[in-house]
Amino acid sequence: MWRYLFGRLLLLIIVVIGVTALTFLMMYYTPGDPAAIIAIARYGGPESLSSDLISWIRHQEGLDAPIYIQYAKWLHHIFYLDMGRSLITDEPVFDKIFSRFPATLQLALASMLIYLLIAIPIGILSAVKQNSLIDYLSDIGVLVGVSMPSFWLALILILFFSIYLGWLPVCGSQGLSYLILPATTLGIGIAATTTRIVRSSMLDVLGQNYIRTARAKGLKEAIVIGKHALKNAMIPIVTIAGLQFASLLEGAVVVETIFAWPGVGRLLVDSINQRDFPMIQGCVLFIAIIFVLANLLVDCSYVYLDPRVRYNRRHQV
Amino acid sequence: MNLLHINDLHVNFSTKAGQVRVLSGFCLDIEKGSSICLVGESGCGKTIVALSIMRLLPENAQVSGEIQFKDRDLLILEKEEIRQIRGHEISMIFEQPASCLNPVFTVGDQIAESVRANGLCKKNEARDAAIELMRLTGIPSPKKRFDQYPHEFSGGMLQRVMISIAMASKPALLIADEPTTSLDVTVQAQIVELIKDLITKFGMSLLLITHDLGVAAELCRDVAVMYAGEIVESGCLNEVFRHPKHPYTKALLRAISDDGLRPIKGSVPELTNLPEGCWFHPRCPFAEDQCRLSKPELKNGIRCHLWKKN
Repeated sequence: MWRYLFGRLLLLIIVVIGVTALTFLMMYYTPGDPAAIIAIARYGGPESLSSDLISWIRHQEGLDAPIYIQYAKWLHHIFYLDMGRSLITDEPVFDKIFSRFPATLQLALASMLIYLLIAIPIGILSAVKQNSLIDYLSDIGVLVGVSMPSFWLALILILFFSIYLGWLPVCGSQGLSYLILPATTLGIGIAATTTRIVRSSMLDVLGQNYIRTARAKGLKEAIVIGKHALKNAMIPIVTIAGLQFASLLEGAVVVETIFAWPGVGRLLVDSINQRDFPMIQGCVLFIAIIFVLANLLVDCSYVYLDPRVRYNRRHQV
Repeated sequence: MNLLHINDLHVNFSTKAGQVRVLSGFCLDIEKGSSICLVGESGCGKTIVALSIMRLLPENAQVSGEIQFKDRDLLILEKEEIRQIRGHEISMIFEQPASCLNPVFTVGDQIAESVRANGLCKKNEARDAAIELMRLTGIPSPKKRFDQYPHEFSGGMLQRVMISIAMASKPALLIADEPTTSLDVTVQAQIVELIKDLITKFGMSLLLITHDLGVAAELCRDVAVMYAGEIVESGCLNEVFRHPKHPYTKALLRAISDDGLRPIKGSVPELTNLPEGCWFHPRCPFAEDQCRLSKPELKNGIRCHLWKKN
């Protein structure tokens, strides 16, 4: 088990290095001179800038060094949890991201909840009532759900619930009611495909011999489905839920921007618009770590769900 | 008095290829405390009989006829009523026990669940009851084994677990569908012995389904030979095995006789494409004109036009 965890941590480091190196490279070739951005932030408008000033700043900030030196320096600082400072506001990147993190976490958890509350019950229901009206309706729902881009769905939800019905606020983050629309947008977006996976996973399990045994024992159908079938069906469902968590972080970038939700996703978009390079690097690093950790959580849950995994682990070490 | 009385049972499956008739006019009686075996090649409908009794057929099956069990027709019972009979008054064990136990729950939990399912005892007593059942079916160190998972058991031990589950309520009828087929020969003998002991000890009736005539002879008093969804010969097992009358029974017995294997030529006809006349005639060495034209009825336990001649 410890060996396994150690392996996963090693993987985390590799993923983080890969992702950040790639962003670093992309940022390097993106139009926009970081030295000029710093100059504008510190000394005001473009008219007061001289090329001497800019090259002085470039030298001061180490921006004239080759890219791999810059990247190595950045990595070195990461070890001391120093992600640098914003080019625009001069705030420490680390503090800024952590001030935005609770909002993103809140949104992610609420979306996950909505996601699971849609995908699991509907998936189970359409498997148990295979080829019934419910099954066909959910099939259509999935098709619609998959086809809707989140920015469009967000606008439609705002139009209906905020403008037309006036039940929910359009955007902002002053309370729980502000969370409903962004979380629903994100949740529906990723629920559609998973509903289908829950259904097929459930159908697969329902055809197994041990389900027949459970029925032959005289168990209530609710226990056959809810206990015997569901726990087995959960194994692929957890896998896909972990992967969907990644698309959720991806979607958060769009949804946080539309709903003016002050999370890390919106911070990333703002930073990109302002060419705030250290901040972009910080956000990407943060999202990559969250993603790897989510997958680690999924792997750990197999141990709980499937005793055969537990057994193999015990006997491997 | 009959414990189970099956009369004129028909089972059809509606498939994409159309209606498939898998059982036609099946009749069977099981007396209290007796043991009967259904034998026949694969695909002749033996398991369908068992699943019809348990009402565990898939949803695309259409069942008609009657299955009287203790004066109640199982086929017209409500779902809740049949659920209370399953595992309580009629239990069933299957082939391939490894696939019949849920891989993600402990063996003990699955046995205890069967004890609790029929309200036989309180939750905290279920563990003790389950351990007692494990002891009854000869599972060594049951207390330790209770908390293990199916993948930690061997095939023979898993079948003992299945039998423990089936024995939770000491049912009146035990249905065993190929209980030894997937097991090693030495383990087979142990399982046969165990089933034999249990049915004698608790006075259960046994419906055994097998294509292993040796196992059938060990466990059962009566036999019914099935071919293509029908009984072709039935009666006392000793009598039928010693003096088979139907050409199919003869061929089946000869197939495993001491002087080497003698397979029956041809194969079971497709149920969508049954021959005219007697369903066995294309494979029957004695077939005459009337066998090709009219289908024989089951008379005195035999379905053949020619048995008196042979």
